[in-house]
Amino acid sequence: MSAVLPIIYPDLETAKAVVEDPQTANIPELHKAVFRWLEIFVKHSSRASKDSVDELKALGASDSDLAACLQLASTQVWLTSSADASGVGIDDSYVNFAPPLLQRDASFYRATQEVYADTERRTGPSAASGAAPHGWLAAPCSGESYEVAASAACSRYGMVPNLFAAVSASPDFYPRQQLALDLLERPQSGELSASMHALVRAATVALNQCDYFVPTVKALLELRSEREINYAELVPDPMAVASNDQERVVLAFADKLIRNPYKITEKDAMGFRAVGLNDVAYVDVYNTVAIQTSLDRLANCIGVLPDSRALLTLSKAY
Amino acid sequence: MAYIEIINEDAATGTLKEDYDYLATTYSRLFGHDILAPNVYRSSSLVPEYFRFGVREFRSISKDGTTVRAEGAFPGFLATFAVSQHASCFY
Repeated sequence: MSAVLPIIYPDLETAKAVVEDPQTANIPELHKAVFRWLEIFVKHSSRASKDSVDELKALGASDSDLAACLQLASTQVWLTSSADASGVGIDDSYVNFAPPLLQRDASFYRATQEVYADTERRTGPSAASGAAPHGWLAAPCSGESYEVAASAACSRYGMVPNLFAAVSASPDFYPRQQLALDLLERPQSGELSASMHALVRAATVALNQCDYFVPTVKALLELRSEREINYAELVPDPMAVASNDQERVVLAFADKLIRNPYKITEKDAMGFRAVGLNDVAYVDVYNTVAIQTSLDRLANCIGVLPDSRALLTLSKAY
Repeated sequence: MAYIEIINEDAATGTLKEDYDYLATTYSRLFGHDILAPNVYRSSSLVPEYFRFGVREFRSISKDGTTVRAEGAFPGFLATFAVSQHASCFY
């Protein structure tokens, strides 16, 4: 992603300063506030608060800007998680495009790997408690894109999710969010059991401390788990419920992908193989974690409250 | 070298092939020179449903392949870069 930086900051010295520390770089205060907000998004989204939204608005951002920003950040969670989980290399076209300071041996990467902190745990109720159901951004809930998404959601869930209303100021991402929810309802390969998939998804929500998706994963566990697992047992450490080697390997990997994705190595993929799970199962697991995390962080940072029922398709026979 | 098996465009069939073609064509048009589908999308090639999700993401980010969201005082690239930076994502 560093290749895009010169597009935003064509001056090389400015780009370099942003790489070193955006808070001391000569860039607009709004940009600095975005960096601060998205650091919360990445590292401890469950502690996000309306204060960040208010600060960004005071600096000139609109509700539409902020809804778009968070949804772009959400898409980037899938991209960064996929890159870290799979170990794919930087594209040659990007390396050639980026100035030397931003290429693969830049000090930036070494420095940030050292300072990246574990996801911090929230204590006490969510900052969203007491907020409006649609969270901290204006929710116009109008326009063609919203109406299409709302209608489709009603057919699937019998309601419009609060999350859909919460991002209605920026409707470009509804097809992405709907596909994300569809994919998360079940494993996408025959190599991962529905029971394991439900456990992975619930563990992800627990690790991200996302109150919004708790009703959904509770329902999924009840429907799909081959043994009785109470969601509360997953908090604060999902590893505590692991009952066999496969679950231990998969849950440890999910924890790493959420908290310290840059620490993933080939040994993690080999660990799957060692307990009888192949690469297809690995892809299914990391996508489940990545997609769920992208939605968890979006919900946490927008302050949206849980829906009245689970986000599971009504017409499916479970 | 990826940690897992990757199905590249020369071996792709069906929706995977379609999606590879879409990414390459659209990226090349957006950046003005030939670009293969970026590696990050390849990572999900073993499960085409997730590869298609990646394409769906790209379509949302790029407004169906029409923009790189670099314009304005609050460019979209800022959000994507900030997430990568805070996640220490080498890619």
